[in-house]
Amino acid sequence: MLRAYSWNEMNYYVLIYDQGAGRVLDVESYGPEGALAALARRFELDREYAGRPSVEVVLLSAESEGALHQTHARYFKSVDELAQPG
Amino acid sequence: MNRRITIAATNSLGRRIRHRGLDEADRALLELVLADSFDALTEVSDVIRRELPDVTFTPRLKTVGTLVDKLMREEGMALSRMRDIAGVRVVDEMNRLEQDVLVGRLVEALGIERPRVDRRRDPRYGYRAVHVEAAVDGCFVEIQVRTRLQDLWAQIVERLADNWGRQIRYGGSPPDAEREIAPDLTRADVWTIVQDLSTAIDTVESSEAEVVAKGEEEEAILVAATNRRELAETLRRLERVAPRL
Repeated sequence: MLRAYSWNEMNYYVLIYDQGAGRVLDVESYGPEGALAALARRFELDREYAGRPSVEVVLLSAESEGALHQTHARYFKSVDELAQPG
Repeated sequence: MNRRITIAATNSLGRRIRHRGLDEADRALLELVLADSFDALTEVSDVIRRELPDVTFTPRLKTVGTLVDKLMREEGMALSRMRDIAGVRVVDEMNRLEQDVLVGRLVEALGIERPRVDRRRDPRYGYRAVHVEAAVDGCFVEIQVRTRLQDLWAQIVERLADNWGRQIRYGGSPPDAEREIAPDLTRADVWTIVQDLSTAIDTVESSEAEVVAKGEEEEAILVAATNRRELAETLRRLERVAPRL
């Protein structure tokens, strides 16, 4: 069912985030060849957390985890931290 | 790209989920929809990497929860027409003129024909950005292009929505808006500051585009500097109340 993917130099991240607690429970990282494994893992975790609606399982890709912090800061920072300059 | 599930089957699935929720059999079909969207996302991402190597971007696949919520919220929406199952986000330090240029480069590289959605001119409950939509074999990929300030506002609201509920992202007031969350501070008070922040960001970005358009004219520079100070003050207001949220 799953095919090979080719996002060169992009890493894949499966992020598990608890909205209620406002914190990341885990980030699993996969290298540039790991798209297929990351997608399969996301589906597996979707099922595992199906009974916990406050938990998001997110599949993202980025050059680095630092880039994820830039474009998806809400997972990593509180409103307090987001509002601080710089 | 060869689809794993037809458009008709995708839409039937969407109707079933809307009416009876997501059971195990339909979850397996939804995974096919998501895998198709992932293929489309991959194709779009490969083009961006090849044609715009200077652009940093983050592809993402919509979560099951938000996908099901959207089906429930938007009664008439066909699942195959949902634009943001696959998405790409580009955030950069840029002014609005540079944002326009970047959007134009993406449109050209991806051969996008659909009109861009300019949420700077037509903001959605305070949200500003420019969105364009690519399509691969009937699967849509939404590309969000945000300046740092537009993204800052969106991230703050998404973070608040984690605590207060997602309805605030779609025009709803915060639940229990008048209940004090700290002495002399209600959610409604915080929400007012957040809306003020949206306006302040719009004012700054508009005036800074004017500076460029008017060739660094002194008066335009002064107006932009004043607006920057007001934005900084609004951020300080939010920073003062944020630890109490």
